[in-house]
Amino acid sequence: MDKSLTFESDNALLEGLRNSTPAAFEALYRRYYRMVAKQASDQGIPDAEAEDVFQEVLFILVRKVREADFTLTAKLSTFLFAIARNLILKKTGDKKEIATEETALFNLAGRQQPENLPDREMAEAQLDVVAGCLELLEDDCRRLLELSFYERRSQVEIAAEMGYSEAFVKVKKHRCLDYLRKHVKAHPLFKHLQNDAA
Amino acid sequence: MNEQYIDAIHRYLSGSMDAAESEAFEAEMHANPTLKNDVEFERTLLAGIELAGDRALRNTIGTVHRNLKSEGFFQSNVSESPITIFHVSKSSIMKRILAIAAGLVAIAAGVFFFMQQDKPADPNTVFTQFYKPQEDVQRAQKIIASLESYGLAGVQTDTDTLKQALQLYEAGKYQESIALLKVFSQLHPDNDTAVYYLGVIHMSQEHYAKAIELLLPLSRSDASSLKNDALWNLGLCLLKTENGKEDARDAFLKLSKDNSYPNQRGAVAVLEQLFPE
Repeated sequence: MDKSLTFESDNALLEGLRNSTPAAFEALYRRYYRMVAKQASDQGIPDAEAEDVFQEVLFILVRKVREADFTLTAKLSTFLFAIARNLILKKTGDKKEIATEETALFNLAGRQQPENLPDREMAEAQLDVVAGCLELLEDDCRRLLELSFYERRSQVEIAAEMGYSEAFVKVKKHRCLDYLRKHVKAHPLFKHLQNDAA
Repeated sequence: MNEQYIDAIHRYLSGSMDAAESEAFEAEMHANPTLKNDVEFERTLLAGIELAGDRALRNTIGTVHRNLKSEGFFQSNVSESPITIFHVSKSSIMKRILAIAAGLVAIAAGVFFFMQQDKPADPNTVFTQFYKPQEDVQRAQKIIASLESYGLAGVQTDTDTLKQALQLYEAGKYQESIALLKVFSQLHPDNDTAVYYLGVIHMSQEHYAKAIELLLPLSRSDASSLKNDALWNLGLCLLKTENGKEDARDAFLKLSKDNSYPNQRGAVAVLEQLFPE
């Protein structure tokens, strides 16, 4: 069976992308990689960099389709090619770097990007600590926090996915956040908060 | 910290407050250093969760990329394709291009297999060629259709749990499916369907050692109707492990000799590629 035919509609693909299903990514590679690589090649981007561009396209695509107000107003391929075109033009045009996960993180409301290097390094190190502490949580806690704060799913969706009641999702979310806070505040990088951890 | 207090901070950070509420919240922050510190800490906490999510997403994409690379997907010459992403709307041109591309792929595949006839194929390549997750999805759909609920209205029965777990698997919601399958397996440790799909999901997530652990006992269970399917997937998982090729040969040899196994020819084909005479 042709693997690119596993997802027969854009909606099925979208759902696969929202859930980070490997087969959905593979389907996109098989359908669209060559076209994007050809365009990158035409713009003088080497093959190895074209591979990086396509990975970035998929990353941005998933972030976009997970946004609460996302609606697919054109074909998924059109949307994917628009992202690819922007990235290629960024690489070849004004040479701006593609936003990395770290820089993107500071786009949360109200956050000022740290201007000097030590502050920025400290902020990134703190985020690393939080990401590491997340690994210390039980699977269900980690998943619930990811669904709530990364995939930005509603309580109703989380309840359906995890087999909980909506009320329990709310309770468990706060409980899991508390566990995470305790782990984070116990880390030396957050020692200034250790009096609050008790 | 109580839940309302935290919810207010999160609503502020996510930009969900209206202008007046946000303004009042900021005024409160200026007057209350504790609130200000808590807001900054929660901001770091949420950004850290986001960072972990980004990394997991990149990791998933990277794994797919590496698998395709090991299959030789990126070695094809991209200049063969005359399509540009700036002009892709002419479907007739697209059809012709796809037809030409399909022809080229078929010729390339023919040449490739002709040249490779006497060489053992790479286990990763064999895995990619013969791993058909969609067949397990179709199998799950048949099982779902055969499961009937005997519970009272609004009461979740064990059968409902298994059915829901398989539906989640079918929808690609693997973590949720695993959670329910584990619950079901604890209640029904002898149920082969739950064990089989736990193995299949771990396999799809590239957790091959875990998949082998689950599929191996099932592949030896004469009582299970999923025995041969478990053996097939076990053989494929073994191809992904270090030094697993010989054990994989045993698995596919058994299947190739079993006339009742519908995919007997597939097992023969795997053996021919892995161990050409």
